[in-house]
Amino acid sequence: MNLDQFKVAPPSVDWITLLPVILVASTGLVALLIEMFRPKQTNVAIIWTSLIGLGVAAGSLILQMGQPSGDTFAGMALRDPASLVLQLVLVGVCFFTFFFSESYLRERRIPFGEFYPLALWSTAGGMIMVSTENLLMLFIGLEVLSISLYVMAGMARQESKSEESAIKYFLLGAFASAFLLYGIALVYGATGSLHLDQIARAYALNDGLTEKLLIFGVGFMLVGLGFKAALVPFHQWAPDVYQGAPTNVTGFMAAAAKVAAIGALYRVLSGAVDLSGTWMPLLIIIAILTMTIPNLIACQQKNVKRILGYSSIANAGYILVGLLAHLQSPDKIGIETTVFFLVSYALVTIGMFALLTLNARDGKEGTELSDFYGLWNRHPLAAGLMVLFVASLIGIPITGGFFAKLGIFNDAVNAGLTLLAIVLAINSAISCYYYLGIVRAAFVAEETRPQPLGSTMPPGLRFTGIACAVGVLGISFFLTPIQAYLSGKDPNAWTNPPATASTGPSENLSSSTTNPSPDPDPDQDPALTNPGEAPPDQPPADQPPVAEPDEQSPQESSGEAAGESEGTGPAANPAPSR
Amino acid sequence: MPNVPLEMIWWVLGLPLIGFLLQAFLGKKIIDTLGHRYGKKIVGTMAVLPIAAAFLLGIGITANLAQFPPGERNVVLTLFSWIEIMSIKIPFEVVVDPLSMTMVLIITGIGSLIHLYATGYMGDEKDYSRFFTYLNLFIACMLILVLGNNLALLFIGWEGVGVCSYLLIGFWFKDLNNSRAANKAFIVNRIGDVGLTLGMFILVLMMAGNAERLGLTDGRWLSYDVLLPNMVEVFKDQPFLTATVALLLFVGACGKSAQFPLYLWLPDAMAGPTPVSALIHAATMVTAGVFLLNRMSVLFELSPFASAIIAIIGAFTALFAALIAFGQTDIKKVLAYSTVSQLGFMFIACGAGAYWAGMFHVTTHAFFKALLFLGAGAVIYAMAHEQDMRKYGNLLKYLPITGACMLVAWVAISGLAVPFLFGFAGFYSKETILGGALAGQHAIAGGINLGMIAGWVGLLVAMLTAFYMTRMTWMTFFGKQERWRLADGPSHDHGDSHHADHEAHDENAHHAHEDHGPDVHGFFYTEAEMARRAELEEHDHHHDIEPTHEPKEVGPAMWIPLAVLGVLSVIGGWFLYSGDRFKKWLYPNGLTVLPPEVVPKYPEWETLLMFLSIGAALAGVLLGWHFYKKGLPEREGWDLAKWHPFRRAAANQFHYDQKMVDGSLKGGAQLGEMLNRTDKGFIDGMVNGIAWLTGLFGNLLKRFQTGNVRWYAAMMLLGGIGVLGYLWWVALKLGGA
Amino acid sequence: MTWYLMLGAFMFTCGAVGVIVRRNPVVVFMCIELMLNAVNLTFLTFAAYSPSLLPLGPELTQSWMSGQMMVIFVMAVAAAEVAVGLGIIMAIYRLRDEVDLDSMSAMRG
Repeated sequence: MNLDQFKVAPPSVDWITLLPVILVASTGLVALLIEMFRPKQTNVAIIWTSLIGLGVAAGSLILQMGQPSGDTFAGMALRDPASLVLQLVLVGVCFFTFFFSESYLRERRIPFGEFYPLALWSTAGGMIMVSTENLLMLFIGLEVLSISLYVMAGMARQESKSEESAIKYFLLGAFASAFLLYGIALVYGATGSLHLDQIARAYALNDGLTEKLLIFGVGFMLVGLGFKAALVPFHQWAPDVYQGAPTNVTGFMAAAAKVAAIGALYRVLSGAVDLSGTWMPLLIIIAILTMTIPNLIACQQKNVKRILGYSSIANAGYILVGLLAHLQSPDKIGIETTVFFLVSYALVTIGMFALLTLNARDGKEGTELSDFYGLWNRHPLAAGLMVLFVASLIGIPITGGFFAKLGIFNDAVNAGLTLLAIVLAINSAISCYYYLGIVRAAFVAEETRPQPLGSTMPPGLRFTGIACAVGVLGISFFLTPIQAYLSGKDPNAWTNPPATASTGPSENLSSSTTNPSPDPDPDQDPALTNPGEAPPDQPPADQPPVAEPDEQSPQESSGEAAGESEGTGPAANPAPSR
Repeated sequence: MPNVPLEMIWWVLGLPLIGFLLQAFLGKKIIDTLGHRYGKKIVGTMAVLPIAAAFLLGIGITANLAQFPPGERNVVLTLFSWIEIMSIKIPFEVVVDPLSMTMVLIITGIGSLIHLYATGYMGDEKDYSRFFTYLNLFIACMLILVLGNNLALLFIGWEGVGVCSYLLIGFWFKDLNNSRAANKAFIVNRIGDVGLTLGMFILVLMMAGNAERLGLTDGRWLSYDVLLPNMVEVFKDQPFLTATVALLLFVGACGKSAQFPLYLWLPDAMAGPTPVSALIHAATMVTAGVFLLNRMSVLFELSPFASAIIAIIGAFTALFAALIAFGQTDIKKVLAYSTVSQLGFMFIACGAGAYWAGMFHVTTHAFFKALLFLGAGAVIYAMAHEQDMRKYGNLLKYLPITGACMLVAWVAISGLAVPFLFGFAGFYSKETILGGALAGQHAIAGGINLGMIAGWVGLLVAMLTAFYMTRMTWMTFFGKQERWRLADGPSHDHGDSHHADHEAHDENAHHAHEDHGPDVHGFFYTEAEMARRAELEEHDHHHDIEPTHEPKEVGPAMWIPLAVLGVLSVIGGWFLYSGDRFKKWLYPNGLTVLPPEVVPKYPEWETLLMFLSIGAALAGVLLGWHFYKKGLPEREGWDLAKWHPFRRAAANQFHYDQKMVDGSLKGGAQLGEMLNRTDKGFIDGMVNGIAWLTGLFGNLLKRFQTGNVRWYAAMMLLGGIGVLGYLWWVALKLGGA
Repeated sequence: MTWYLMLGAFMFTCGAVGVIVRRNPVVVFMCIELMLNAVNLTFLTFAAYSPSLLPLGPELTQSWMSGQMMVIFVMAVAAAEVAVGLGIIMAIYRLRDEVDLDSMSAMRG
């Protein structure tokens, strides 16, 4: 794709920043059109169109990764490492969901081709949420995400559970939206603006009324966003909705909605970071509750979807710990561990729910624990993948989940939130019980069942499972480059695809590699730049993560970047040293 | 030889991986679309080519490396930074040095030959592409193991080859024995892994603790180029800790390289297809332990005590396994125990401080053991999957090429040589090991030179090796009796006792079946499952060889590798030994910190030693010839009762296997009993209490999840009020202040 | 201005309480609409009186505008929610011939 053709646009509007969202949303429109005229009983055209659209969107996101952070449309759309990675995660979640959806919908007898456009719009909404600091945009994104999800949750129209979950989700979601809006209104009243960076300005006035408005505004917004992220005590919808909704929707919801909500929470809280004295103790309590309560309940559950629903609440708690650690000391601790956790969580969630669709037969879905008995014999591959995903959820070494949890634990300790770290560790131990219960079910000998389950895995499902498994193992393999990219220390890391090294602006490359002194890019989100005092566990800011010989002078680095762009695969960055 | 840049090592690593992916995703499709005949040909080629290409690249890189000055043949290449946690940095990096390249050449060279062989051997297999998927993955993992520049990568490869081995042993997973063997291998290897992991952990702690003192800022504490040079300083004046770490790593090596307490899995692992036995359980994977000892040689050299333990364990394993080999009638089992025994030799060398001799033996052993296994595979193939040597005889007549190659291997492993002129591969490596052990002053524990004792034991084992290998050769290829034609086959009193050795070996299992007691092998299986699988097994095992069977020579895909390996077995040792080529190649690159006089190559009576070892080999061969020239002796016939008690005991591994498994089962039961009795009140109470408590809270909290929307909304509102109330309180406080 | 704000807060509270006490989803949804309208009122109040003490200068117009824009968007979104919500309620009615919220608690625990 030639990016230059977009550069003729007026300088005030950077269309490239918006391109991914536009692509995904318009793919949704195209998909809807196809749905209207589709050949009977097949969604193949819709799926392929959607996949291509998502692929292009992902490509446009990846291409942006080398470019400097910035915003456009008067700060309504934002580009920084966290937003790019989270958007990529959302696109990926949608992508993989589509792969295993078709076979599942077919088995469940849900003739609902609108699922695909709805999921696409939902994704677009989530993408807006994670890449804006404007409250109006945040609200729009949230509603676009949610309204599509309400419909998707009630997709199985013949099934009372699905409808029940839809109405629960819808009423409570709208209720929460009202809270969020009221909070936005109060913040607007205090600052006269819908932009989050005004909060700091208003707070600096040190005016009693403004301050109160701000505090309450943030409080109301916490309720609204806490609902979306399913934080205790706003979590109770989650298990019911997760259980009732069709499994592919649940997987999408668990991954995408969570990522988007946490992304939005991150934006709001880091906008209101000056007020952290007021909400920090509150959120610490919420984090503790969010980690503990669902884990305790999950031990008593018999339905895998419900277990995973509780597990996702607990995971929101873990993520919140990482977020709080970052907000407690934004200079010292980056957001990268949290984002890494989200990536790992999204991969595992999609993979796990994809496996759950395996038992669906003839309009029914088998998600009770007992439905998984004998999975080992029926689908060795599925059982193996399940072991891997559960290992990642528990946090067993060399899976992504291990490094994600370890990173958050480490952050919490470093930020002085030792209490949270301890609670996190205890909860990890508790969660083993029910996670292992899932694995155990897969390996229990099968009882005779009235209706034998088939023994083939649909290819799309197999692809999703394997891709997620590779991802779960792979991200732990590329742990350091990902984190380095997210922390904004080295945009030159491997995440840079070859093309950007040549098209990307050169001053960005040189500023990161040739200038070792702390030089925060003014365009960059303040929370993401790392001033010189890097914590001991992070690589020094000037050093790229790839160990290179010292004698290689900084001047060579641009040439080296060009060299990198030519090599692909394993030979990309060999640097001999003795 | 073209100068291949060292960076090409990524391709060496990547090619098998690419091959693996191709096999995994395309292999089955190709076979399905093109049909078995052509599809299999293409898939087979796809499997062999990457490995062969990697081998050629490896040769080029080695040639390039050889041009470096001797002290600088150690290049670290980094792909990317992998893990950075706390202050530990673990990049994905490889090291190109003589040791790793030696292993690479063995793995890819022998590996490609065995792949080629397997295309023929597995020709009738349904799951053709699955087999090669595993094999290619195995090669990739093994390469990561040897090329990785830090212990973490070594561990990844270590586990990877373990998994592949597990998959390949259980390749014919419908057979209960195979599944059992696979599980056994898995469990025994876990014991070794615990040792390795603990050792690595202590190493990291030590390095991190001393980092400041040594001025290490890198954080790559598991990387060899940081770890090894600082080892002496880190472990200075801490003999106990040094020995602990060294022995922990040794436990890991024991697991992978099948040394005495943990050798159990290897013979059982012969249940897999023969190329697997050749590749994994003889030529490459089992040498990982020896490789680890070599890689960490600095550490082991710092601890004479640990070295002495290693030497003596090696010697004991060598002797023990050699004795067991006498009792085996399954041709693959003989070779399996011979492998264990030869690995013992390698450990003797490492224990005595003669690390390069250990590597030398790894190399030559790879030549002739691969040859032996492949030859045995060809024999088995020709004999309609009959593995019992008592049914062989006079096969040289029918299998001239295979037979000739096997004879070469027999001479090579026996260690025969013409004094002062020329020796077969095994002669040189064994002699250097014995020389190093007998003359060494390193492996000393408690004032006793255990290394020297190990050396003498080694000499004895050398004789035994020649003896039992002669036994095997004679029973298979010579003698006028063509025993599969004889009527007095196995007495059919057991269901599947045409596998008489199998029966002897698995007697325990059968008893367990009859008693309905706990099956000693069936770690994982319920009784019902055992029964079901046993049924399957009976169906699968009806391939009794017909008396009219006419063995035919195998096809070229199978005998070409044999011939190549045969040539290597003849001249490989001589080539590498003459002019000390191998030693000069390995030595000057930081393998050792010992002064040369501690590990001299030979005792003063070098010539005598040469005659001694040739004499031992000759004696063994002659003894074997004496006993077996007339064919199968009565005392090794089908009737086990007529066997010599010693041989019967050997056939059962001196009951070690049984005792171990029984012991661990009983021990576990007793421990459980004990714990149960003494701690019923306390631990039970506590565990139950915790479970009860979580259950209580869980159930209590469950009540709140009423399923009612309005209730949920109310809870949300309450939560919201709580949040806002708290904030109001804070705001008031702020307002007040 | 305080009166407007208080009216907004009162409407919001009424709506929230209504959501909890009413059993008919349509009424519940109307209560939510009431809450949204309370929000709208608050937005408009702030936009009209602009209590912000920030030295906004030329951004002042933008500031008014954004509050009013927000109201329009809230109304649009509320309309979308109505469409979806009534659809869901209709689907439930077809399925079980009644729409009592309290009877919809098959999933719990």
